[in-house]
Amino acid sequence: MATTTTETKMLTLCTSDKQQFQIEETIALQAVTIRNMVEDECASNVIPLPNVNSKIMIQIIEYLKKHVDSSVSKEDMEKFDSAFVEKKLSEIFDIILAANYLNIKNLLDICCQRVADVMKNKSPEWVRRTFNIVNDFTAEEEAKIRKEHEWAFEGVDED
Amino acid sequence: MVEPPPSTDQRSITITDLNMDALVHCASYLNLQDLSNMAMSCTYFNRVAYSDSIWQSLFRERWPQRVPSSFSQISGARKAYLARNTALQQFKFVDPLLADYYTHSKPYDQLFLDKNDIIFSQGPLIHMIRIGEFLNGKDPLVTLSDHRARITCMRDVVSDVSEAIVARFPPFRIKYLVVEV
Repeated sequence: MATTTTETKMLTLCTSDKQQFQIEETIALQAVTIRNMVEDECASNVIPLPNVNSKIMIQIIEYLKKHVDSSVSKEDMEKFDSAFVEKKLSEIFDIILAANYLNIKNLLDICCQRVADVMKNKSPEWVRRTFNIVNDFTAEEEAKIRKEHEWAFEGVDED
Repeated sequence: MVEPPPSTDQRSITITDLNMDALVHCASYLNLQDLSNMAMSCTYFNRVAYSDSIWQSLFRERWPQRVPSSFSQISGARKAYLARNTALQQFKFVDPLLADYYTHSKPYDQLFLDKNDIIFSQGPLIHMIRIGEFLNGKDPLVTLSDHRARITCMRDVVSDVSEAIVARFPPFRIKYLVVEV
């Protein structure tokens, strides 16, 4: 049946919610964790990824498919990346966890950059509100820590 | 950028679900002010914002020539950064002055700073730049050449010209002085 000499090798990824994704090996191998599994031959046809659910897997595959394509110009790739991270923060956190687990460095980079961008030029109060964080400093501790950080703002305009 | 309110439709993860490494990775894109704001928001973020790897790279970025071979395990990279920052802040300059001196292209053998004088040698010659004279509008350059022996040592030898001058001239009101070698 195999009529082509360059038959594309496929891998099946199985997510935490037992969904199976058939993707080309070259695409999947961009994830270092998957590459190691394949190289160590500890993976058979189906690679279990218990830390990634299907919703996130779909997005990660979208990312990997784009990045495996060497015909995409650097500029277009950057455009794709910046559009890719335009998601709700909770989704970005999910992707960070998955990218960390799968070891996809550039994906991790752009998602972490996205989180950092949210924090840029923002007050501690704003950071807490945005990330749903409880201020667990005592009033005393907070006063002390604010004092400790005054130096960083010397010469910076208030806004 | 306005973030939509966190959705409540399903199990929605928050930033505190990220592990320390991932958060440190995020924080590595922040500048000093943003890191400070992060550190002030809660104890977990405080630990993230104080992590050694972030302060090591901040140190390396600001003083690439001065990175210690190893940061103290006990006090950490942030302490080292702050200590150096504080040391550099000790000098308050009220009357900044920038001056260029053009001298022989031959490099100096020795450089010595004494109060308001910059003294350097080239072979057997000793040149002095007297900043006090310069401020009084007189020629600040003095050359001493009444001996022939090559000068091999001056007390208190320093190598980093611009920094040494800034560091050694606290009583003299000078912000930055470039000695063109």
